[in-house]
Amino acid sequence: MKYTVWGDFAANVVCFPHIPYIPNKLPCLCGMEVVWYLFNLRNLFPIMANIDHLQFVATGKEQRNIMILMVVGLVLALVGVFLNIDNPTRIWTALLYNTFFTVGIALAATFFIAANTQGYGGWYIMFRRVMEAMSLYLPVGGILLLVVVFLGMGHIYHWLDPSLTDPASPHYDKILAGKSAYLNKPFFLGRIVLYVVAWSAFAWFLRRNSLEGDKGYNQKLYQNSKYIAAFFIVFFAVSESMASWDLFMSIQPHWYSTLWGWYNFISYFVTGMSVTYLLCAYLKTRGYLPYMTDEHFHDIGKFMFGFSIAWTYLYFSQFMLIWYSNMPEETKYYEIRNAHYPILMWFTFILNFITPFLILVTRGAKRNFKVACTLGAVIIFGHWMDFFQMSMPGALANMSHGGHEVHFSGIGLLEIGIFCFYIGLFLFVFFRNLAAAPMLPVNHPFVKESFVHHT
Amino acid sequence: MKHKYIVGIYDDDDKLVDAVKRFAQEGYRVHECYTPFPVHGLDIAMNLQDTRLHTAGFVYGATGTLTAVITMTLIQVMDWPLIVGGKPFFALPSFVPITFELTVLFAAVGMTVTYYLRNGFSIFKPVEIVDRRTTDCKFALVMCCKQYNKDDEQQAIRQLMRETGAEEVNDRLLNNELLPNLYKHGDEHAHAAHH
Repeated sequence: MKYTVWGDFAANVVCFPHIPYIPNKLPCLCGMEVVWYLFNLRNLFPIMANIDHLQFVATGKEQRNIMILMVVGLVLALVGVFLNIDNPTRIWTALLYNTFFTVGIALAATFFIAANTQGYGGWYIMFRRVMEAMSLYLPVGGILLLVVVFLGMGHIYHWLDPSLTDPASPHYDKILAGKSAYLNKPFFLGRIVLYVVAWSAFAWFLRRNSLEGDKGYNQKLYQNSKYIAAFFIVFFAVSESMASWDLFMSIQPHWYSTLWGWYNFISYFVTGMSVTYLLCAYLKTRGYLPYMTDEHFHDIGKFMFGFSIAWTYLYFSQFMLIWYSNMPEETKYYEIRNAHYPILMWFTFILNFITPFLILVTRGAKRNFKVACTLGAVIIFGHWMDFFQMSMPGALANMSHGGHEVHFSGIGLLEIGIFCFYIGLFLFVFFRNLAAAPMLPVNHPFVKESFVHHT
Repeated sequence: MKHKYIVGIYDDDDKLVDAVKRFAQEGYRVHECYTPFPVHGLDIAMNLQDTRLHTAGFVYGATGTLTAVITMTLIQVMDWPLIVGGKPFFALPSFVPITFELTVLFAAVGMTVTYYLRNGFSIFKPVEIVDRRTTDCKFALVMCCKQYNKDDEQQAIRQLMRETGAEEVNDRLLNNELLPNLYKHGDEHAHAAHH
């Protein structure tokens, strides 16, 4: 890609509007070369001469390790499937929450890009391509989500049973009949398809604009990205809430919680930030992202820390209000979890709140790769368990009304296998997309801002 | 008693940071800088110690947490137990919001008071500003004449200020002594080498 004069011109005007831009008068006097020399970012940052050619290439070892992870995960998952062949609810719910967990990581990346684009964020340009590659998992994960929902919804969602809304039937459920305007099969499937298509489209448009920018500076692209980001944020605010009702809250259709959407979103957003930290730290040690400093990592660490606390706030608020008011239709959710998964409830809380709070609170911890990466892995695992306890207990309790006794199974080979497979798949898609573009969007107006970033 | 300071006025933050670095190179200790906005890298150039205010904040916060839990336990469990909605007397989840509020209150008030005390702000103390223009567009570098009390030292400081681009070099007499900063360990050696 070419480093353009107009790119530098615009970059200087956008980044440093308070400095009078002299070359406005110069071009006619001395020609473009002077402007190019004076305002070329390369002259200010000689390091950029190297970085704009930097492009990720996966080594054979990396590809092999990802493949091993996927195969091991698949084998474990298959063993788990055969062990639980009589319990399809568990299999499909495990697939559902793992699929959505990884889709959520990609969604978090898309939201992060959109929010920073909209908020004139410049510091993240250094690792923007990493976030883009994460967000491009959306189409893949979205299709998998559709497959799981289309094939497995009969085993996950209790309210799909048509006899529940039929007044003549002995199973007639007045509450579900009242909710049937929203919770019915065609509308439900239509919504899921809409989410997946729209999210993927937004991620793809943001990526397309970013790649177009590599050809030369174009102010219109930046404006266009701002529109896309704005529409995405509005759409996402509604759709992520509705997706969390559809996919997880409707597993226990009588139960409802008004902060469920936030709670879900923050759970995968903090996971997404931890994944970003881990991937950036890995790429940094591999030599890509050479100019990403402790300052950038510190800020990602702040997101991990801050949103861990935000998650706790919502997790606890939901619990406390239900515990305090003690109304049967609300306490159902916690009754199942408290009776059958008490350790999981508290362990999730410790992993997702106490550990990040006490360890990530210091400045040094956020800047130390070993500490922060360990904490990142803990947060990812903790929120994966959180997704388990959002979905599995309710599905097992509701779907086993057909006569036989409910077997509340914990986290086993099945869940771990599917999780390994999805990590492998996510990394596979991620590295492929990362290798498809240079590591730095050099013509982005805020490149300089990212280089001089200082917390 | 009046305290004498030499004040160099700069018109640019980069010039100020460069001047501070230059002073450190020559073995001087810069007493204080006044700027209209926070200048990145100035704390590093001045070799200032990291603030300990956040540690104090943690201690205040922990005090607030303990105060809340102990007070509520004393009132609601030991002194006057009441059954509310069939909950146990020591109903921890319902204590959490109040505990949180008191933690925040103690941390916020404690940190503010500490900050004011440490910086010598008080409503009873007349305000002395080294140079009024530092609240608008100028940057001041302040050297303490108590530390550099010889005439030739002060002349050298004035000379160095002019060399590093100071617009003006003034002497200021203040009634209140400016509190000394905390410098990072190792600064004493550099300082000693000069003499």
